Amino acid sequence: MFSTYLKGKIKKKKASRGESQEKQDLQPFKEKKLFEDLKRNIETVKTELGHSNDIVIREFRVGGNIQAAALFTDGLSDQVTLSDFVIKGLMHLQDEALSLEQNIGPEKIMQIVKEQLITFGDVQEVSDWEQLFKRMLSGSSILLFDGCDKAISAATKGGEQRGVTEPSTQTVIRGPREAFTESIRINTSLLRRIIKSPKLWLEERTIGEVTQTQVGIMYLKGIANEEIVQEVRDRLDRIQIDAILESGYIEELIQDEIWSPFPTVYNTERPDVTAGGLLEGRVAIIVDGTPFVLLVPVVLNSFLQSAEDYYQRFDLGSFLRLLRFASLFVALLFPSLYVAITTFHQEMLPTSLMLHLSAQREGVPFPPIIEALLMEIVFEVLREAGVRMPSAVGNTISIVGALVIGQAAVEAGIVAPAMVIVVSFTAIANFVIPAISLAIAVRLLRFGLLILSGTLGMFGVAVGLLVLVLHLASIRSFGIPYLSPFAPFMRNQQRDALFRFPQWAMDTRPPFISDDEDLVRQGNNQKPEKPQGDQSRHDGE
Amino acid sequence: MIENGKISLLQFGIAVYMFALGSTALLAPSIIVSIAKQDGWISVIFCMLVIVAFVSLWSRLSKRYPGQSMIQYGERILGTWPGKLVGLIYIWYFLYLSSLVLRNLGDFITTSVLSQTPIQFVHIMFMIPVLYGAYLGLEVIARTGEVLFPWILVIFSVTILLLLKNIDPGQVLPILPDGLLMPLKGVYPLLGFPISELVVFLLVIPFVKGQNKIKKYFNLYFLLAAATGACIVFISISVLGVDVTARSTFSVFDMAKEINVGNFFERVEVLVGGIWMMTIFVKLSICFYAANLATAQLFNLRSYRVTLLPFGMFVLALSILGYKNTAESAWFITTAYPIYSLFHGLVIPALLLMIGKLRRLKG
Amino acid sequence: MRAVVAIIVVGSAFFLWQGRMLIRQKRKKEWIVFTVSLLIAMALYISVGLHLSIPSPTEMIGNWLEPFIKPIVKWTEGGY
Repeated sequence: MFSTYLKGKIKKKKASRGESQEKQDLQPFKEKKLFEDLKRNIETVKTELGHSNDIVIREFRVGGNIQAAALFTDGLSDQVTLSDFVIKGLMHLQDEALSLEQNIGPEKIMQIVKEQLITFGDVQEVSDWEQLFKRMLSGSSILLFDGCDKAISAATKGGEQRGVTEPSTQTVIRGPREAFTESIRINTSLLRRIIKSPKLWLEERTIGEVTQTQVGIMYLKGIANEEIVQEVRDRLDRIQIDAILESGYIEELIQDEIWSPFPTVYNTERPDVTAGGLLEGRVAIIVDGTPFVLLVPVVLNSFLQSAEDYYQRFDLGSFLRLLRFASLFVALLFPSLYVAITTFHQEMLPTSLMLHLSAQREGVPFPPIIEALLMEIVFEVLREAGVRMPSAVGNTISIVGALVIGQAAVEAGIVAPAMVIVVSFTAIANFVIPAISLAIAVRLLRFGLLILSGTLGMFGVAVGLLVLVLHLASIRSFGIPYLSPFAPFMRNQQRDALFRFPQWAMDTRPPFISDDEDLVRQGNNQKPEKPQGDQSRHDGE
Repeated sequence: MIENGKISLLQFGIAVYMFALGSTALLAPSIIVSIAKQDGWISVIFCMLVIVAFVSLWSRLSKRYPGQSMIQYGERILGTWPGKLVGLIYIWYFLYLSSLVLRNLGDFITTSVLSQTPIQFVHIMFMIPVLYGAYLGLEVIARTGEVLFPWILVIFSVTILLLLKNIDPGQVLPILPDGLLMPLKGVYPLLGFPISELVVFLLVIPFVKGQNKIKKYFNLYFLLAAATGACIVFISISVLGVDVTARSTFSVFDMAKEINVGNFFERVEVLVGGIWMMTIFVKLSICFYAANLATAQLFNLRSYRVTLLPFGMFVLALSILGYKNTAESAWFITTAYPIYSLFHGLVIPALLLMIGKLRRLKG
Repeated sequence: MRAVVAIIVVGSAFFLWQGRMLIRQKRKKEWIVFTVSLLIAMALYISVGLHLSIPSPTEMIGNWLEPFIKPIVKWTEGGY
């Protein structure tokens, strides 16, 4: 509701661009500069914000005769900081500095306040209304002085924020337990804590004409490819939208391939995964208000990797990766292969199994393809219900689901037991895919392949797969072919693709992502060697 | 530029490999065996010599005019109108070849896998990925080949492993009972199908990165394909015997039917059929793409995509018209087709090279 | 007959869709090549659909090359 309303406003604004009178819809104020008169300034703030109750205006005197006011938004600013470090100091001003000079102008006072009194970090002079409102509404306190057409903004950001908790997606058994939060500052600090390099650069910009959301681009200078960073900047600067409520907005506005179920932007709420991406030369896009950070560029392979692959032993990591690839194929193809084989190619099954299956199917009123579609849809409904339900009811859903599809449907003769096995195994395999965005794509494609297999058997599945492979081969993410390093094939990148080689063998960064000036990750001879010399030292004397 | 893509040498090599196997590996074994009997596999080995000769002719031609396709330098060498005529001949050849390949696939699917589906429907379904691939361009087709290639190797080696216990080397004996003449005769159909058909790569070569190694990769992967072919013929003779191989249309497919592991893993020929879907797809998309690219280069169009849909329809129609049944196709491959194909693969390129040398033209 | 109707419908859909696009982009040469090839393709497809007795290219090539084929066939099929 409200977003369509705002969009209407933006359209109006775009239509009348150039006529400055109508600009006030979204621009805070038709006057650009602050006034000299304090009363008038305060009045303006009040009217512009519609006398909102959470705007606190604290008037006081500085130096005996100069009127001043502190403005801040209740709940966004830390009141203790404000009173301890700003107002207290200002009130004491009359004792010290003013005893020296008699008639001190407001300009001079501001100078003194800025340079000598406010004892903490981010203090800036503000002279126009747009800046003033922007800073005040993002938590800074504004100091106004009578007779001065400038204001001081002091970053007293504070207020309630969710603390760092465990990630709810992409959980691991071994690995750091912290996840990003909704605050961009906490998120960047989490990354800085992992990568303490001066080369970790952060660029911020504000996107969203109404929400004024802070969006940060973070990358490792010298490791990230400069062209890709520039491309990210360009694409972000292109965005003109009223609101950014989640990084999903940004993702949809900067992705390469519009008509594709496959994600070309990676999202994660794990700082370690983001740091790993940064160290490979990727660019992180951090959006205020969401714990999901975007990483670009990305290849299909990244969606099948988990942070844990690198924390566990390499042999287990490799095994798990193979398992995930296998699960990807199962999730994509199992129901369609079942339908194709039972409808068109019964000879492929061993005779006893085939007899068994057809005995089960006796009395089932639907052909396998309808049966499969029905079950898949039922499962998708149950799953969606399970996600949206309050967790107290969630258990009920799973019991009802298990009973209804598992038991009753089979006993009522609506579906064959084999189909239940197929659908449930497919669903479980789908959960093995670590990245939800890819898992969703697979869920959608499964239906397409199912219909093809029901009409043309294996031939249909093969045609569908060919189209799929062509599509995947044509996608690029920020200029990087989506199927790298498999197609185009890069031999020494296979160490960290289908398999995870030991740490000492993965000695270069991926050249297709990073800046290829310096690809070396580690020193030579990192392979641990057994100590030379007398090995029997500890075997007992 | 009509096509901006660039492909790597490896992608080029894989495309050559898959193109050469294409529909040939499915159809040719029975044809060769019916001529050369149990020495059919030696015929394929003989082919390797022919392949080296052809590749050196083609790479000499494309080295002389770097960065240009055959259509482009053909016009320079022969003059505008004769050059255009040659271009038209090639466009027709590629379209005709596409339709034959499509028909091979249609025959294969309708006789072995989906016996009740009309062949038209199969053709139309298969043209969808081909059109899509040609639309996306050479780079994507090459990458797709790169993705499919390992699967082909895996399925192929697994098939051979599973067939090992069915191999009866006695079927291949006696080797060369009547000297080298019989296997030499078996080379004849292979000259046209597939060796000469690879002339289509004269349109692809300008887009390969690393021009100086093209000859090496062309030779290497073409010979690998021939070795795979020899392997296939050898195994199908030793598994099925000479008579059955010669009589069955798709002997590789029939060979895969023999697989039986512990009475559980059996009749998996559909999976093996998957290999030929992949190779035929690559062959057909490259052919079809080349026909469109040639048209665009001949008429100086801004994009090769203009003719995709009309040519798609044309190929569909031609594939139905092509021939009546597989027997006619086998007859055609063993008689007229090699000559017809050699005209495009050998005669015209050789003429172009000679005339170019006489007129002292260089790229 | 149904096939012919389908071909005409599909062909004219192509013509309207892509042809209009080409005209809009002011590409006359492309439009001519497109239209001519589409007409040829449709004519061929329709005659195949109506089972008109047009010679198949395979037969035609076979007939042209008849004189060359005979000795070769004799050679390949010839005995030992």
